[in-house]
Amino acid sequence: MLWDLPVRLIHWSLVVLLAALWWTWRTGRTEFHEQLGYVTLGVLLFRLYWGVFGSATARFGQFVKGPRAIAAYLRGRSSPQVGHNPIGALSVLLLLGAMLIEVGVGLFAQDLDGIEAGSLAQYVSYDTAEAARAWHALLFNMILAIVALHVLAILFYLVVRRDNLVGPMITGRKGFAEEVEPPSMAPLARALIGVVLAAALSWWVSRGFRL
Amino acid sequence: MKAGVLLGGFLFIGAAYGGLSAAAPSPDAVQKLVDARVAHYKEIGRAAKAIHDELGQSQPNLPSIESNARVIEQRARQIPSWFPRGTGQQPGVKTEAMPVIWEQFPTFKQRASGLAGAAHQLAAAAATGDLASTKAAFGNLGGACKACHDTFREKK
Repeated sequence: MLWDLPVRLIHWSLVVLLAALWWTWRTGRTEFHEQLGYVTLGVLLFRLYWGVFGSATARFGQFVKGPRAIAAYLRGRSSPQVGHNPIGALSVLLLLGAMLIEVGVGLFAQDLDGIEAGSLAQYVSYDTAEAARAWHALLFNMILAIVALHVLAILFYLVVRRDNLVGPMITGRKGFAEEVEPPSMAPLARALIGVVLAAALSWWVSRGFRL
Repeated sequence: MKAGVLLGGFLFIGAAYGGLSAAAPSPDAVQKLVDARVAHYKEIGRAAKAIHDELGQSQPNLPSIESNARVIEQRARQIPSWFPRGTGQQPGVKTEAMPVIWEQFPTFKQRASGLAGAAHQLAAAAATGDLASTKAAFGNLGGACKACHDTFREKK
């Protein structure tokens, strides 16, 4: 097992959420867009939790590498990668970071009419909420660019390196030519704790920190 | 005599120039008008946000909602006057006001009066002190904003 169930669920739910968030915004379903935003916040918060307490291949401490390891990987001088390679790690950080910022800015953004707004817009001025809307739109385009880069990288591995990265992200399993140490998997009960914590925090945020 | 002819000439040129500029105001003049109406709309937006924020409180201050609704109503009644013909999209002018405003001005006026009516209802609901009907009236106000924007404001 390479990718545990939580990692795969997080990955594909973010794909679906990103598309749904775009669609609800595009078609003027602002309220629905907001609700999906809080769900996305929950998923991202859970990913942060899982990056600390999750399975070996999910932990930031395991796959985020410094420049030296990145250079070694680029020169092809590294052992087979079980989990994210050092470049993939940057992609993960970039995607998660951009989405976290996007959701965070969205919490302060208001719609064109000042009628619908993120749950935290009540704590900022009208002009700040207006600026947040502009940033929210700009950041979305940056996320699209990062997603495009991510998909291109997957295609590069598939076509040039003959390495299918999509299959394992669906099944969770991957075969290696050489003998590798199977990564240790975290118990699912621990994931449940994280889901409850992330959902509770995201719900609290959606209430504007009011109970 | 000579001076009189000269003066007459200047007056004529001045009048002609004035007439021309009345027919086609400079982009700068139009932009000033556009900026002024944007500022007015922002007043409506600020008041709407203040109401939205108040309704998010556990104990909304209904008199504050009422006074903000009155601001919106008062501004909404002025909306048609902010859109004289010739202040739409044109070279040198940045505005989201779409040409359809002047093609369907009666409908546009109707939508503006719809907003004024919704704001009036909201103020009345807040004045009765009933939170549920105030919330419902605020929902209608949002619908009134959207009804106009959907047709007449350029989507960005």
